[in-house]
Amino acid sequence: MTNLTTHRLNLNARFLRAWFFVSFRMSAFFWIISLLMVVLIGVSGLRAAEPTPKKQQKQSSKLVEYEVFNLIQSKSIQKSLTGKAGNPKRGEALIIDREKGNCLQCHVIDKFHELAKKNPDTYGDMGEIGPTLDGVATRYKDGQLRLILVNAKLVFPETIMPAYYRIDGFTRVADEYVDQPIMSAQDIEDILSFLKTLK
Amino acid sequence: MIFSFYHNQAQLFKEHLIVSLLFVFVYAVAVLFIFETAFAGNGRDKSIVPAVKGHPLSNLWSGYYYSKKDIQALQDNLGENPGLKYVSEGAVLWRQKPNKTSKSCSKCHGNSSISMSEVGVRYPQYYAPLKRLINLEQRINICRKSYQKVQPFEYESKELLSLTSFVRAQAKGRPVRVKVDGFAKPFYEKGKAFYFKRRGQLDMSCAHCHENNYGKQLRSTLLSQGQSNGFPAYRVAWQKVGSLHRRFRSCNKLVRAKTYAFGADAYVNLELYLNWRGNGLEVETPAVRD
Repeated sequence: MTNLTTHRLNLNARFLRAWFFVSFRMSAFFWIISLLMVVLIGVSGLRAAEPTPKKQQKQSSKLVEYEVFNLIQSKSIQKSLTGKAGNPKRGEALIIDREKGNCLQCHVIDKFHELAKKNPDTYGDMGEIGPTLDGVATRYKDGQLRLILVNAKLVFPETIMPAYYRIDGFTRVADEYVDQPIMSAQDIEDILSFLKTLK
Repeated sequence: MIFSFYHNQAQLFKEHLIVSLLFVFVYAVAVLFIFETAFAGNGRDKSIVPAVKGHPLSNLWSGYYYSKKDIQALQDNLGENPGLKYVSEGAVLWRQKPNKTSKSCSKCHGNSSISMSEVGVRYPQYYAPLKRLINLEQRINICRKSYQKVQPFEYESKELLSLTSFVRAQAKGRPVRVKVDGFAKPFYEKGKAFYFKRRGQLDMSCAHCHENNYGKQLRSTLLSQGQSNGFPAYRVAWQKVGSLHRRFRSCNKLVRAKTYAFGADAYVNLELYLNWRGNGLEVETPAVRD
């Protein structure tokens, strides 16, 4: 420490030169530090902004985009459950019906978007859990579609899709649903015949 | 600094250095503070990263995030939140003697905002005298039975919902952190098995909707992660506050499965596992959900 009794403003040339030199250098130091901090704060802010779960982050890659088609050749039910072809009109009604097929809970059918505008109570919002049903007849053969309707778990073991024509192998089914399939054989065939029109 | 009285350059430099280091320190503290607030999240409209390794979810989102805007507003508005009616009724029950001879809750527990501040975040927990897991509702009823010497509340009765809401609301804003090690471990494992077990005629497990498909539209509902941090919660579908077990029952009914009774062991185990999945999310009781 300097002698405290001699404290007074020192304005001689040597002091001023030294003072300006040091203070300019230090202020430059301050600027650099504060800029650095601003950058850091900005980066932290950007990192804090989380992506919403609905929008998936697109990964940049140099590969050409391609689409994988799931070809399940081996598993199918070739024969009609009722022995004859279904009724597509009735199938369409079953798909919409919330108590029966209720397919729109998870799947989208494009042509219903227009109808939903006029009649929102019947069609309502369509779910986005399963794949779209448009072009489903192109992606699968009839027998494969029939099997997926009857018991989708035989094709996709981990799927969320219920087995619509099955009564055993369940856990703790509520009493009113015990020993009955969600839909009858006729219902399955009718829905299948409607799905066949979605090419 | 301008009127620095030091004579020599070295002293001056030293002074500048000390002051600048001080500034750097202040900046660093500010940046740390920003980082902390950015990454801690409030667990409501922001997500948090689960602290445990091997957690099934990469980010945790409260059910608040998946609610519609008007329902979020209903929860945030202290004047309108319908769950707060239950909380205030619970506060009355907290201070009230059940009968002339027994004690009130506040007689033993004192100031609820202090004594109950951590209760809402750590239940369900292992209860040694019964050698099983109990949740908050059951804890309250045990208190009633053994200390207040009165009839326990019926599960899902208005009184029990009010008192549970009140007690859990004391932990509002604190992160959930249930313990799943030690004695709770076997119950946690059972709850986990329940979560991943397909059930009902629709043959779905909890994971099918709330782990694999959250954030997706199921008709007009947006599927949430099924987090339990807001319960007991006011559900618009019920027009009433309901317990987590009531929510479990309605989920089970949706997949056309047999329900368990309120307070059943299977549900308490599931409650533990579910709370563990949401460890770190802040308690939102009384939350509002659709």
